[in-house]
Amino acid sequence: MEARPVQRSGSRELSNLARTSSIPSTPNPSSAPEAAFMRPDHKPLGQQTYHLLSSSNGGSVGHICSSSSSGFSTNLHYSSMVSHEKHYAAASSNNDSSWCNGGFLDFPADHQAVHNSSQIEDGCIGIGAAFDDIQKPNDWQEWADHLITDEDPLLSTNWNDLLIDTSSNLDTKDQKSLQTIPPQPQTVQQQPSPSVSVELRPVSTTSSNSNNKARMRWTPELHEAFVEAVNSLGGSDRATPKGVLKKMKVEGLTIYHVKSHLQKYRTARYRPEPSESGSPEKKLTPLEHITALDLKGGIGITEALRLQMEVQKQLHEQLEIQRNLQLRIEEQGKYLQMMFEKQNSGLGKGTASTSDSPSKSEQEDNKKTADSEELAPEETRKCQEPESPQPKRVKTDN
Amino acid sequence: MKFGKEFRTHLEETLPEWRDKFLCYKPLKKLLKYYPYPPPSDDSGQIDSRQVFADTTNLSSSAAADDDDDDDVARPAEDLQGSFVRILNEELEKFNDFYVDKEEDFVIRLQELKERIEKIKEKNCRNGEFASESEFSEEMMDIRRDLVSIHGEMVLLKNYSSLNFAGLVKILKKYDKRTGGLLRLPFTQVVLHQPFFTTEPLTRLVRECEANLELLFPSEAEVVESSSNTVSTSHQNNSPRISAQTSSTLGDENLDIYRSTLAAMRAIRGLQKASSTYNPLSFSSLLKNEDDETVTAENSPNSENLQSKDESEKEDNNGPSP
Repeated sequence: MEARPVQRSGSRELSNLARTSSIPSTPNPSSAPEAAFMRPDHKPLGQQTYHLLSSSNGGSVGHICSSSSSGFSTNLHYSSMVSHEKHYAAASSNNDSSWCNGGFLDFPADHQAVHNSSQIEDGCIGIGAAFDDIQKPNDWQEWADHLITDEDPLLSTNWNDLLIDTSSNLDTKDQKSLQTIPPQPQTVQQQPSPSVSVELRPVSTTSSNSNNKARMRWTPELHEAFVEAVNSLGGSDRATPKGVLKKMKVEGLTIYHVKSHLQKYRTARYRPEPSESGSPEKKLTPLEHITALDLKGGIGITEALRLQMEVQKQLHEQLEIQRNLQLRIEEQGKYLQMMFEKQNSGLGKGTASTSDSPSKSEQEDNKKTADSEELAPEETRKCQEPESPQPKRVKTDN
Repeated sequence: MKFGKEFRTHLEETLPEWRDKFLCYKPLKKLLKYYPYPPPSDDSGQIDSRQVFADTTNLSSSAAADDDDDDDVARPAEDLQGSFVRILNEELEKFNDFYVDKEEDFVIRLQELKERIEKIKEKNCRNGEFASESEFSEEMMDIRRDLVSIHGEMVLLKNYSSLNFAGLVKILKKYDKRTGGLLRLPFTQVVLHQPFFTTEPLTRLVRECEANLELLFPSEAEVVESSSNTVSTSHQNNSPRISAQTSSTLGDENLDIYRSTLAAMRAIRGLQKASSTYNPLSFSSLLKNEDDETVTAENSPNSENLQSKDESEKEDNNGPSP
């Protein structure tokens, strides 16, 4: 199935906002479980790609955020890379990328669990897999090779030392595939997020397979450019998608995007106009209530709107809080993973410090529920640092 | 289970056209419930690809035909994982599509509103005395209503994002717990970067909306303070009364939004309450100080497990704890 290289490239584009690294998308035969895991197969790789047209500094019109699928497999690369970005910035340790590897630590010596996890991880990163019969090693080798050829081979050699050596032959291949992932964030890190230029990178590799159903993420700035173009062409009724597209001169913007956006635009404009002139009944009642403003009998419209607004603002506040908490919790989860990795690598090298080992066993026990109260305050302190790249990350997403 | 209930309740009360855009939490739970065997295929159709269930049924039934090996247990397991991830991927796509689509709508509509404001400002400035006071105030009221409306929808979209995220995390936790898999963390990392969860542009739009409202209707600020008490009580107790009488004033649209907003508030509050399992990282423990009514681990009926023996003995002596 040709999914994997495409995903890989797609994921790279996700993290790589300004550059295109066109990866040869060679078809890759894959085993059934992998296929089941990797892609929603029902669509012929016409996965939704998302183009984000805004930059981190907010001034420009675009940056692209595309994924060959919104799915897990692709974005695992992306997420692992982004997480590596952050940790790279924060911790400057290559061990970060193997955070997925550390996952198997929290299995209570349950091989079944390891097997299960390996099926996930093998999709992108790979831990010791016990199901040799199920997984086709040759696929992994191919895939890993693709990655290795593209990436800095030097780094790949380090991982052999760091990763725990499991007996299966497959593991080394998996590890290789894992190894090649970390180099990416470094290169990503060194390249800053997209410049002010309006240039977008089209989704090169996926377009070969996609139906060009890429979804555009319209930002206010992009929309403004659109409105300008439309106005210069004589208004929303007279402007044609093709003309607007030409006027806007935004790379990566397809006529499909413009067409649908124009349609929405027209609908939005059409509605207010009739209501301004027509529907007098609707106008009268608000007027009555404005003049009446009888709080006893009813609530005037201004009061009602005010009330509604108040509630909405409250909800928004709550949502902001909730979101921050969610992010923080996930951050801590990731941090724990990172800690495991460090423990892991430390054990592998045989240089684990004694102070870490008691906490490590606790971490293993409490990993899933994160009930370790002793760790929690420590983590919150330490997580201040990992959190600080977060605003950066947040901005680059835009 | 608590989350599931909150989630379902919210689904029932939220904007009708959004209902099927949320996470199919219940079906996914069901899928897990029957692990390692696939669930009896139902025609609920709540999961987009019904064939997913069919696939697992077929595969596992063929596997069951084989002799009892570890492979047998493994086959349904990996099928479950495969189908589980597939379903989640589809859900993500659904979320993203919906979210990005709505976001685009908001961008357009907000831009339109701003243009209308500009127009009416210009009109006002050009004539010293406005042609028709009522027209002006009508238009202003319209704009205000639309601003409030779009603000409400945007906030609801944020709620959509947040709730789905919470649902995903929950179901992933359940998956890990049930299957011993390791899906949660990597998948969550994926989800964190999905368009539907990167809500920063939307937040900016919301702030812009609020700013515009403040600018246009500054009296709102002072009145809010005085009526804050009424607001807090009213939307807790009197929402039926308000909605009945303001239906004509707010318009049906706004009414829907208002109701959904209240539902969302309730859902959030519900989620913030402590669950039966104590988790120092949960919302409840982080927000414990704010809400005294929260059933915390300490004063819940299950608290005896957490307390020391001495304490429980004391409590037994002193009678039931409050």
